[in-house]
Amino acid sequence: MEVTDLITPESVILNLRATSKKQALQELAQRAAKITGLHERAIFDVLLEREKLGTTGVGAGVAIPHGKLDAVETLCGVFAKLEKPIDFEAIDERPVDLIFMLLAPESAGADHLKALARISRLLRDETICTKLRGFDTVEAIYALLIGADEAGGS
Amino acid sequence: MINKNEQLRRLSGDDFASLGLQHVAYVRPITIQADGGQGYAIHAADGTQLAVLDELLLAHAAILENDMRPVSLH
Repeated sequence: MEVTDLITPESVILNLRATSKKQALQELAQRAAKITGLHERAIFDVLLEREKLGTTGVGAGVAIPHGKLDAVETLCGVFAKLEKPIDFEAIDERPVDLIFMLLAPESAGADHLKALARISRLLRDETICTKLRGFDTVEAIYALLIGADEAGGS
Repeated sequence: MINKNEQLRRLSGDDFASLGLQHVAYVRPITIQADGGQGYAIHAADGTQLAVLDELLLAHAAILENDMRPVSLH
């Protein structure tokens, strides 16, 4: 599982403006709708439903919201760097400013888990997160997400 | 027709132990002995350990993937 299988430069949102978790999820759903051609509302609902079962704010300013949809054809990621950190009800209660959203087909099974594992290991790396926070172009962020993937080796 | 209280009273020990077995899985933070790192154990409702994962997010996702509901224990 490579990060290149999940995102393209179009999947990267720079300086996302949101004041709440819901608003951030809405913005992510909007971008994912543009990429997949699915309804924004359907994507938002599935993300929100998952958050109700337990927050995907994994700590250290990172969140990995995700969900499964029948209509989505392949694994689809959207990465957003927020302009200002927001409350995401994260497990460490720290505000979140880096969000990697993942949508998977209903049938994805193990691939869904592998992709989540890949993303969570990538964003657990403090050096990578510090760089992501410092970068101010979509190209630089995309290259790091991809480059870090190659350096990560798994 | 048996009312709910009566049904509960008639629940055997085995019935009670298997309650929720197909529907709920519990997640418990643990220390992984090999490297002293933090991990998360997934247990079935009867206490059987099903898996150990290094991320809470992945433990929850693995449970949902198997059509069960995650419940966190602290």
